[in-house]
Amino acid sequence: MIKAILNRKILTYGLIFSLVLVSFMIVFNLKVLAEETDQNLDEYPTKHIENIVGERDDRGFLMKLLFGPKTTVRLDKPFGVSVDDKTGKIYVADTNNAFVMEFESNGSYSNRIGEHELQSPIGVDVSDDRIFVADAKAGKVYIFNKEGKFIKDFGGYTTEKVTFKRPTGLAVDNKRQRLYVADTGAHNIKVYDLDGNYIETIGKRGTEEGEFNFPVNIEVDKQGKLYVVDTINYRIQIFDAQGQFIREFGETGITLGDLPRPKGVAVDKQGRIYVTDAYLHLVQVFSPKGTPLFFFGRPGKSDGRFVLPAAIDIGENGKIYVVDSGNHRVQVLKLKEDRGSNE
Amino acid sequence: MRKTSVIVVSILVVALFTMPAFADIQNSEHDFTASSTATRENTGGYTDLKDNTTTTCSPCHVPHNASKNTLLFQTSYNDAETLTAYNTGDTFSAETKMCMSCHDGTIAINTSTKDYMTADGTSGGTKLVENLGTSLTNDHPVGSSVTLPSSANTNFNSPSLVDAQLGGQVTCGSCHDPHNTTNGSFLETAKDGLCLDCHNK
Repeated sequence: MIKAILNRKILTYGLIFSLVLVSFMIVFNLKVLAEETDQNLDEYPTKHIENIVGERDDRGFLMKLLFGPKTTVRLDKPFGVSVDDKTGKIYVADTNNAFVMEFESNGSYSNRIGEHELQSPIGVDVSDDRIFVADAKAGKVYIFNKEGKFIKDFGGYTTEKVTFKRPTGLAVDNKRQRLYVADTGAHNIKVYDLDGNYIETIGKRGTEEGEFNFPVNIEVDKQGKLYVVDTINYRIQIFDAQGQFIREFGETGITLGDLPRPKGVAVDKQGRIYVTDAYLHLVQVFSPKGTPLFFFGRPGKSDGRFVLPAAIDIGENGKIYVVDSGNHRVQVLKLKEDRGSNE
Repeated sequence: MRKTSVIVVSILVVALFTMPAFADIQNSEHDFTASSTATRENTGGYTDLKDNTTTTCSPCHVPHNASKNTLLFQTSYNDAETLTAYNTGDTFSAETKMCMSCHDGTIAINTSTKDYMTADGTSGGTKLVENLGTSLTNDHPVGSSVTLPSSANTNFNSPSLVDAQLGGQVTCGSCHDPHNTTNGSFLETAKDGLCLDCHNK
């Protein structure tokens, strides 16, 4: 009798337990499914402000009014971009023109930087009073003042020492007086002070947290957090100001939300992370925690579309500067409305 | 006791079927992660592109869900408006854009200063691939769909060594085989015969 009751109890508890478990599994699977479905990102409306295409001639007002501004030297193979929030000036590193072009905030051309020094400038960023340029071909980082005058360089190849194997993206942390350089060929991030004195190296080749496989670009936010485009690991890695790994997001794939060929990264005021992708030919925006939020652009030549987008920067005024390398221009865009990070 | 066993087994079966389907591919031939225990044979004559086998194939290939038959990594939407190709109106193939997504000066070089050639195949002109980028108007044509040979231009032979017009146009793959390291520079065939396979001057 007792045995029968016990068996019935076991049966009842067993059934309840299995029902709870099944419910849990269904809910869990729905959650997984929801997360997967979340990859169907919305295209976000952007306002196209202008295209920066190159140097313009210096004709008079009437000629410009009648015929429009004429471009003389075009952006050929631009990769890096940086906007100086103090002056509004925009700096574009062009690998084929072999100098950095400086533009006024309205997109008009103002100056060439490093015309006699640079060979293949790829990364550019600015501090309070200096312009830093990474040259992949020379294997050097060049420092100029804001007038474009050469101050110094460091790195380069000698028989005794190879400082950089292939420096590409760089980022300045003005507050902490640090310069981060992505050495794509060495698969690490090298850290310097703003005079070019070596401090430390972050990471090595690999796929684990804090390791890299062809890192090509970097961004530093206001808190000193470092965002690394770890291109052939198909992810963004985030580090704190001390170089400690915080998180990663992204994977390879052919759907939105994936990062098959990430090339540029920027962070806006709300901490949202913008990533350009040279295979999807668009910009995807992620929450600070790495959740995909929305995207803008798609492959094409018209305004708001991209071919092989490269570096990206976001100004204090909310303007988004995307190097649209395949279309030989920098597109200046703004989000039409702001939904927040949804977190 | 028997009923208990039945319940436990039932729970396990239910749990098994409700778990997400992952881990199928782990340690299979398609698992290129560092932790994979799969062994891979050398694929006759081809050499791995990278010393890091964790990513040997994945940068360019997707084993599943490729949008076309080549298993190349491709998006399902593109080509409507594309790059500035050699002939106005021509577009780049997905394969060419694949090459350029790394050959942009960051992961791999985008320039070379070794050879000289003009657009019609004569020597002494613009440095070949000196400005290899997305505008190829000053490089060897990529994206061009010229007919070889043509009555209009008798400077061409019918190529026998290279696949000059993959998918109907000249692509990076016309001269290069991204898997083949035997000829240097990932060329399809030895340098001596490469140019003259198409050009007769």
